[in-house]
Order: sequence, then C-alpha cells, then structure tokens
Amino acid sequence: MTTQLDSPEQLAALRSPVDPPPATRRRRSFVPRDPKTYIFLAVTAVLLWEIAIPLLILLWGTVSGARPGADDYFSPSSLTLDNFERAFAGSRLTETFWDTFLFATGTTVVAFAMGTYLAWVVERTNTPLRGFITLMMVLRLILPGILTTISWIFLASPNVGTLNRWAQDLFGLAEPPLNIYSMPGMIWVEAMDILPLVFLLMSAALRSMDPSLEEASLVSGKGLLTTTRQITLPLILPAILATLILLFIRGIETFEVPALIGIPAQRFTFVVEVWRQSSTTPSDFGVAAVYATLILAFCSCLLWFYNRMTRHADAFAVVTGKAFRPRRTDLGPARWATLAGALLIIVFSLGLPMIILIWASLYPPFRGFQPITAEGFGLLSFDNYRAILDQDLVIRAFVNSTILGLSSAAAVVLLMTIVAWITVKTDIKGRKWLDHLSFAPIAIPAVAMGVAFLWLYLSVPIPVYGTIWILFLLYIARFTAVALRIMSASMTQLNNELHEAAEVAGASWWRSFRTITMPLLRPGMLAAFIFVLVHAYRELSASLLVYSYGNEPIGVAIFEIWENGSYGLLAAFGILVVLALTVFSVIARLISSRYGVKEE
Amino acid sequence: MSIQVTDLLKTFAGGSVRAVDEINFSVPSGSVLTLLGPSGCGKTTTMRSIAGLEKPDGGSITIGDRVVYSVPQRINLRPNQRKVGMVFQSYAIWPHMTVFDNVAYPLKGNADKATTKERSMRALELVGLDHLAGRRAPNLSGGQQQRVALARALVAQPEVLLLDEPFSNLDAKLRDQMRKEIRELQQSLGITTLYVTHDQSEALAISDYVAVMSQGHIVDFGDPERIYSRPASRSVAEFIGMANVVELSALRAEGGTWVGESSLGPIAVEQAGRPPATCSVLIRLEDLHFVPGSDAGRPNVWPGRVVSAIYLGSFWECEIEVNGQRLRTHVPRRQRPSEGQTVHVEVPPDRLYLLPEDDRGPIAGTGPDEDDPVAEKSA
Repeated sequence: MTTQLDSPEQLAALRSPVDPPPATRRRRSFVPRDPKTYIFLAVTAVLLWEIAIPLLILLWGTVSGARPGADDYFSPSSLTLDNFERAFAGSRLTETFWDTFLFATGTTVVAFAMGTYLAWVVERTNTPLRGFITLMMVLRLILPGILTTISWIFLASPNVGTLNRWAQDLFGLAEPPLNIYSMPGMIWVEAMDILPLVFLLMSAALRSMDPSLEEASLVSGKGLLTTTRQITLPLILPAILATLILLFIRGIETFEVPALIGIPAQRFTFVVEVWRQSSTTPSDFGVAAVYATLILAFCSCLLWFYNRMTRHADAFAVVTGKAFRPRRTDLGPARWATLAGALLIIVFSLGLPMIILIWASLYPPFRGFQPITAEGFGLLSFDNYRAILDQDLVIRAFVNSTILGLSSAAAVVLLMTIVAWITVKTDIKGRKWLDHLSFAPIAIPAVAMGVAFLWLYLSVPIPVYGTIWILFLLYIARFTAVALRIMSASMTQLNNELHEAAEVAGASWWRSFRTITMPLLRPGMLAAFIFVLVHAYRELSASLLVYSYGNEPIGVAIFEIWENGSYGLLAAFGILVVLALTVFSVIARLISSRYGVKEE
Repeated sequence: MSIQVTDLLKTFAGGSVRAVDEINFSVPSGSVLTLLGPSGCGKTTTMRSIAGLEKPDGGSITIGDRVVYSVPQRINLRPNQRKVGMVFQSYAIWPHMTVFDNVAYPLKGNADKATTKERSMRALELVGLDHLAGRRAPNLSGGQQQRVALARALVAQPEVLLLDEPFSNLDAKLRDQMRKEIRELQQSLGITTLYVTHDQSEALAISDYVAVMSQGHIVDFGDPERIYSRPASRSVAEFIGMANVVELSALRAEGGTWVGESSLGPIAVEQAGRPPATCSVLIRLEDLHFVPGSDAGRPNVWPGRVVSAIYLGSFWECEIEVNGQRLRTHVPRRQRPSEGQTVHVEVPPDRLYLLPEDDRGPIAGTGPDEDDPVAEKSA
C-alpha cells in the first residue's frame, strides 16, 4: 500500500494530530527531579555522618590533648602537637614501621605465590580435581580469621603445638622445631588466611583473557614460554599489580594475627599499636590517633594506585562478545605433580586448621590443651559442646551477631542500592563523590574505625555508647564498600531499555521501577545481603573497641574465651560458627546460581 | 605448497560429538579453498587442527612436503613449528604493543633488526598501513585491525595462509572492499590459502574451490561456478544462493531432453548424462522470468499468480503461485509486479539442473545469510 504524499498539507496532517489533554500536561510538570535530589541529599547525609564524621574525629584526635568525652574535647584550647611528639618518640616508630612493613610484604609475597599457583592450576591446566580445589578455596574464605589464627597456635606453638610434638616424636628432636610466635610464623598464618582471596582475584584475571591473543603468538612461531612472557604476562600485569596492592593493604590493616601472635612475639604492627593505645591501660588516645591516621594516609595512597590499575586492566580487556574458552595446557603426567602441590596447599590452608580445631573441641575441658597424640584419642568426648549450651556468653554472642548481621545487612544493602542507582543510572551532580565516600572504608582499618566510633559517641550527646546500637552503626560504616561493589555491578548490568520499554508500554516511572527494575535487582541485593551477613559474623577488631558487656558479637566472644584460656569451649564454639557460616554460604550459592547472579 | 587433509577426525564430549567426521580434502598449491557451512559444521575446528590449535583424534595433515600431524606416524607438530600464517576472527591484535610491534613479532629473534624492520614495513605497505606503524593497537578501527592481522600473518612468508571468518565483524561495504583486496593480495603472492566462512556469497567471490560442510562432513566440493549451478544435492542447492526446488517423477527421455512430471506440470530439462533415479529440479531465482501470455504452451511456461512482491531496490522479489506450488523469483525493477497479478513464468530447459535426493536432510541455516543484504541482492 503506497500513499502519495504530494503536498505539505498532507504531510502536516500526518503529524501528531491532537495535543495531550490539559490535565495530563499539568500532572507531568509535577513529576520533578526533586524526589531524586531529596533522596540523594538524604543518603549523602547518612553516609557523611557514618563515614566522614568519624574520620574527622580521628583527625581531630591527632591534635587534641583532651580525652574524648571530656567537656573541653572539642575546644581549641586542647590543641597540641604533643601527640606527634610521643608517637614519633624514640625507636618505637621505626620498630613499628619495620614490623608492619616486613609483615605486609612477607604476607603479600607468600600469599601471592601460592594463590596464583592455584589459580593457574585451576584455570590454565588440565590438572584433575579443579572443582574440588575451587570449592576448598571458597570454603576457606568464610572462616573467621580469629579461629584460623588460634588453630595455628594450636598447631605450632612451641609448648603444645601438635606439629611440634609430632616432629619431636618422629625425629627425636630435643627442641620444638617450629615457633609460631615469630615474624615468619605471623607471615605464614596470615598468608594462609588470605591466599583464597588471591586465588579468586587471579582466577578472574586469567579467565578474562582472550585465548586467541596467545594462539596468535603460537601460530607466529613462538613457544609457550615466550608467549607467556611477551603476551600473557603484560596483559595480566595490571590485574597482578592490583592484587598485590590489595594484599599489601590487607597486610597493614589486619588485626587477628598481629594481636594473637604478634604481641607474644613482641612484633607490633601499627594496627596493634592503635588497639593497645586505645583499650589497654595506660591508654594514650593521641598516639593511637596519630598511628591510625598514618595507616589511613598510606592506605589511601595505595588505594589510589589500585584504582588506576583496575582501570588499566579494563582497557586491555578485549571485548568480542563471544564466550571465551581459555587455553588449557596439557601437562601430561606432570598434572599429578601439580595436583599434589595444590592439595598440599589446601591441607595447610584449610585441612590442618580444621582438624586441630575439631580435635580441640572434642578434647575434654579442664585438662588444658594437649596436642594430637594416640593416647589423647581415648579421652575425646562432646563435653565441650554440651558445656556451650550453659554458657551465657556463647548464646548471647550468637544472638547478638545474628541481630546485628541481619539488621546491618538490610540497612547497608538498602543504602547501597540507592547509592548504586544514583551513581550508575542518574546524572545528579556530585554522585561521583557519593561513590568515593562509600568506598572510602576500604582504606580505613577496622581498628581505626572502631576507635573513631568510640570517640565520636563518647563526645556527642547521642546515647548509643554502651548499647548494641553503636555496633549497629559501626557495622553499617564497615560494610558499605562490600555491598556497593556488588550493587554497582548489578546496576551496571541492568539494561536501561528494560525500564524504558515498560514506560513506553504505559507504566509510570514508579510502577516500572517497582515491577521491572527492583525484581531484576533482587538477586544482586540478596547476594549483597548474605555477603554482608557473613562479614558481620566474622567481625572482630572494630567491635573490640566499642562493645560492652551483654553486646558481644561472636568475634569478641571468641576473643574473650581465648583470653580466659578455655580452649576446648572456644574450639567447640568455633566449629559451630563455621557450620553456621557454611550454611549461609551454601544458601548464597544456591540463590545466586538459581537467579544467575554474577560472582564477584 | 599444498595442504593435504586425510581422514581427519575430531570428537568432543567423550566421542559422542563428531565435530569433524573423517574428512578428506586438499588445497592445491597457490589456490584458495573455502570451507563453507553454518555454525557447528566443523569448518573452524578443521582449520584450527591444521594450525595446530586443536588436537584431532585421527587422520593426518600434510603441509607441502611436511607431515605436520599424523596418527599412524605419531607426529603432532606444535603450532609454532608449523609455519602457517593465521588471521583470527577477532583479529587477536595485542593491545599492549604498537602496530609495528604486532607485525614484527613473528620475526623477532629469527632475524636481525634491520631485516625485521624492512620486512615488517613491507608487510605493512602491502596492506596499506605503513603510515600507522607507530600507532598503539587499541586505537585502530576494525578494518585497520584486520589489516594489521593480515600483515602479521604474512610477514614471516609462511607457506600457507589461514583465514578464520575474517570479515564477520566488518560492515557490508568494508567487507566488499576487503574481499577484493585479499583476493588481489593472495593472487599476487601466490600463497596457498584456506578460508573459513558461513557467508556463501563471500565463498563464491573469493575462492578457487569451495568445500561445503555440514555436521562434520564435506557434502560438496568444486569450483564456485560448479557448486552454484550444479550442486551435489538439494540441501547444498538451498544453502548456496536462493533456490526453488521442485520434485520430479516419471522422468523420461524425449528427444534430446529429459522430461518429468511435477506439481507445476511437465518440466523439460536439458542435461547431459543419466539423471539420478529419484530427483528434483533446481530452479535458480534469476532463471525464472515473466513471459507474455502468448508464450503459453511452450515448454516450461506456466501460468501463475503473484502472491507477494517486495521492492528491494534493483529488483523485486516475488512469490508466484503456480498450481498450488510457490516459486520465488527476482523480477527487474521496471516490470513492477503487483499482488494478485496473473502472469506466465518460464525457465529455459538448459538453465535447469537435476538434483539427486538428499539423504542427509537440509543443511541447518538454509538460504543465504538473512542479515546480509549484499548476499540477498547478489543471489
């Protein structure tokens, strides 16, 4: 059917014939950008209070001579530079710096080597049991750091360490060969704790490489070694550097190993110093503030480099739209050797700690802790597990952590969904700063945040100190970055056109958001929720600063039981916590695979 | 340097999927052979096996006088030992190097700096990119990346050139241009070339020989004209170009022609040799045309009615109903067919071809690339 459009009049007649009725027009002008702006301001205010204000308190603490909570804390008359004098006095600073540097570097190197080896084995070779290796790494990731640190003490302490006892019995040694209370011991335990993270990061990097880039090199006449050197490595380099930086930041910020192993070994990192100066007597808040600020400044610089590296990595990503099958090297019989190496790492990282923890939980209480020996087997019983039910602290801790976890996860996910939406889907001015603000906690060590929250709520007349609310507020600040990463990714994957198609089909903006956008976001929100929940269960160092009797979360409870020396009870408690976390993770995996959430 | 492939077998999923099912073919020295077929037919797997990027499960491959893969002789040369040049579908240009470094890469370590520079620049001149030698690789357009990939494949003067669907990421006009350029290049260099594509018009334009593949088998082999006008089976006919295929029965010889009964009526076919026992007749769209009603009664003239007519610029694509059977044809644009119009159509007896019955079924993805207007127009 052809219509002859010969005249301009006919052409004009084809244009939209009727103006929309006046009522619609007036209503349209009342759907302003204002709701978005109000939301933006509200969320910004919350995050400023949660993150920026505590930071400012911390900075203020470096130059204030008064105690937090005192009337003159905020007055300019308390300004002083004495804190810096004491912090930089004598050899304390250089020793602390050296210990921190050594610890962070050692951990980075060891964890990177082992984690990358495992990633290479799983992603790039035909070693058998790759799925099993991956599963073990994921399981290891959810274990709380304090439990694994304690298990290594059980394994390698000079007096009662199981490995030492075995070695001495086997080789007839007079002195125990391993001393966990040393810098090498610290580095080893922390590396074992963090290598699953390296595995995940490097696996992702290896997976994202277009195999045809390597194949083109092979076809051009270069062997495997040259190809790896000239093609694979340069392209993965940004990801490698990013991982190394992240590891180093973690090494500086970690608490459990430097506290439980470092202090007896007389090796003090900055984080431990901050804690000691804040919570043990005599306390020196000024010095604590100075050290915390130092860590902060340094980690922020590192974070800036990290961001540059990840941006570089994206620039090298070759997007062809086709699914990659990464190149696997056929190792032939050598693959059994690589498997043996991988299994060895898993034994040390996951197997031994779990075994000793189970042993300790079954060893009868009130007999002190003994290493694994044949005679000991006869004494095993479930007494510790029975005793747990009588322990108020344990039950309280489970309840507290569950309440805190669920509530803070809900709050954080809700907040970060809004932030992600503002950042990714709107053009509100200043949204980049909201993004930066929410990610800032990565550079803030948990201890420093705990200290800042402590001082903040001692100084302002908001009565949360001494209640569980201070922990609630703290957890929100702690976990914004974690949740935002997931929600940003979800938001980016959300195709605008889905929402637009709904609007074209007649739905209002709100209805389209409710029926199209939100359901599509739900898997991401669920994944972020469970992620934060698991993190909340593991939280220790920040909570240590602000908890009070009756509000102990699990991490703090474990710490207290450790200090009391009830090792059997602690181990039984730990096993229960591990079981709970495993259940959460399994649920999370089921949900993500069911709804197709991309794993970060 | 010819390529010989004998009994090549490649299976997946523990042997249950035969991606390449014991195929045999050879590429004569200096010529272009195209492996043509839809996705999943095994053409890319075959090419990758020749390059050494896939490990086959049986057969042998010879390049020139060298056996590069052979199960009985237990030879399997690694890709870097096979001396082939390959252009990947994604071009595989290394983003962390400049254009020059990309092209010079195969020569590094095998020649001194001066020779490397000279040969690399010559390769870049060959593809017209010598002025971009210092540009960093990510800052190139798709067409430029493709030329860099070509220069890199040729710089070491390989014995054989492999091209894996090199034009599928380019727009139509660029595709035409590159097609011509690569053909000219190949002919001036005289290099044996294996080409893989799913685009049948590309295959016809660029090849000396075409091997049509389906589900791991080669279902037809020959030069482009033979493949197009005398395909080996109905499914090949429907895959290459656009076709009407009409079943024939009661085939008999009358005078110098074969005459058979069909739903259209009697059809006369001029074809040498014995036709297959059961067959159909292939009517290419461009051979079926309108004739005036006065021609009714002549052989191969049938009355019909225009069911649909789509204007495509240089011609109309029409569907004609003849005795209940639908035939498609291309009608010159000035003839302006309209729906419902009664017409007479004719196809000259010497333009028909008798096809044997297919026992393999249709090649999945029948007809030319539907997204490719160039293919439709030139069919």
